[in-house]
Amino acid sequence: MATQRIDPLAKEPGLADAPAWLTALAPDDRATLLAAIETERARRATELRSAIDAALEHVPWLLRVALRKVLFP
Amino acid sequence: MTMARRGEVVKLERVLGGKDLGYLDALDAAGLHALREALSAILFDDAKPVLQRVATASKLLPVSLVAKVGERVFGATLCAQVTGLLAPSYALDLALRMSNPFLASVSAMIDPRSAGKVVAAIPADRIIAVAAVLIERGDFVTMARFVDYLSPATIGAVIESVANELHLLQIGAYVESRTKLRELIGQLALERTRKMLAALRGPDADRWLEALAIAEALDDESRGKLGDIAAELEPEVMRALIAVAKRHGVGVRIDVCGCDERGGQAEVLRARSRGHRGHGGRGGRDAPGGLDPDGRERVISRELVPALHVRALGPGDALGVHHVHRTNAAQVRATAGACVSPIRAGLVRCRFARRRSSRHPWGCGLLLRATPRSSSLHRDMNIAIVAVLTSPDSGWFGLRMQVDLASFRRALHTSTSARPFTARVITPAGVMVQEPPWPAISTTPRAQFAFAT
Repeated sequence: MATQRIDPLAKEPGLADAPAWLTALAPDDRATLLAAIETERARRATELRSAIDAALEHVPWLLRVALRKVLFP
Repeated sequence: MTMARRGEVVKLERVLGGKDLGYLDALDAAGLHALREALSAILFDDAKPVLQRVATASKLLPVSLVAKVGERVFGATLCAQVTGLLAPSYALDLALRMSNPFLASVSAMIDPRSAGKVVAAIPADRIIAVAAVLIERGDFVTMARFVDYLSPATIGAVIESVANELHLLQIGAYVESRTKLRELIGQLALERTRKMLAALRGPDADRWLEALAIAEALDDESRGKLGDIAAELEPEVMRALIAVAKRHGVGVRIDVCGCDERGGQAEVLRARSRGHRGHGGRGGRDAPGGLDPDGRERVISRELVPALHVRALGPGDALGVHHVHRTNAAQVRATAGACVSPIRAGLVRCRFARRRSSRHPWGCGLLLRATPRSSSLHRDMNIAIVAVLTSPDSGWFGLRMQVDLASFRRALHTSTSARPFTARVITPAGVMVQEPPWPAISTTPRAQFAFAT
């Protein structure tokens, strides 16, 4: 049975419509792009969490508690 | 790599954390732009819920503390992301409390569209200060991104503050909005434009690519302005252009109709002069000047244009040279464009300097060769030489110089030299300076132009 290749990039919400530029990329290059997106996504999430934690260190503890409730409900 | 693609690569590298993007070589500038837009949206949407809460939480703290924490702890990337979620007035208050180097870093990461109101509200002196930091860092891409969001007055102030014209060139090459780019070029003083182009030599010769990228985005008038300035510069500048064009596959050429192996332009002048004397009676019968405008155009199209001699001055190149009535520049572009594919056509650059001590910016065009029958073209006919500078983007950079026959005749009549003109012709092979001796040319210039009176 023939297998149908599913482009992993198509899973990305913003890329689901397979724009013209996406079809210009070879399968390997698409995979590399997808990996780059995942890496950057993880990096940004880590950076954001670290920055918030570090920022909270600069405010009084009572306010810190209140802010944590706002930031991480 | 084209300028547009280079700019997109820089911007996309920032979105993807500065990694090598060699795997995206298959994408052109438009593809990279689309990808960047999509990725920016994807990555922003991922973090948006948390960023929104950060924006909300920031209002619980004093502005001064938020600015301090933002700069020292949060960093430029996160501040750039949060900015678009803040009320513009609050974001402006924060921005004004931050240092210029930090604002420069935020500028590099921010999406100008999300912060347009904030950017537009920042005082010009702060914009200038931040621009100075960006220039020091060589971050011209970021500066270009903000041109769209600054007022003409602020842009003017920034231009004034940038001492190095090459920096302005580099900024302009990355500006995406053609309208804004035209505004920017329009605000540049003539002398600064001249300095900018004059600097395109030696180690900075490759920046001709950026100048061409800018020229492509301009309208005919602005292109003509740049072209006229370039035409007046020293040959070294134009040689640098030729060298860059050859190195990067940019076609640069000017053909002069009637330029032949024996006498070049002088031969043309002589032929025209003889033609007039020999066919004076015919001139009256065939004079297009005696026709109504439509009829004149038909005569021009039917007789003169086909008669123009098309000659390639360099291997592998071919370009027709056409004449044009001053009101019909579009026709020349269309005709030239049709006959030189894939080279695109524009209207011209060519300068004829009357000896080194006396330059005449009006010079050119009259050296088109026409058949004797058309030598009686009416006296107010302006003529242009068609030339083309093409770029790697397949765009073209045409320079136009039209000649007023009366001025040309006047200048020639005042010539007292047997070597009145030096024709500088740009070809793919380099700058050819065709100098006399022209033994066949008359030393009485009036006679040479009797045909035109």
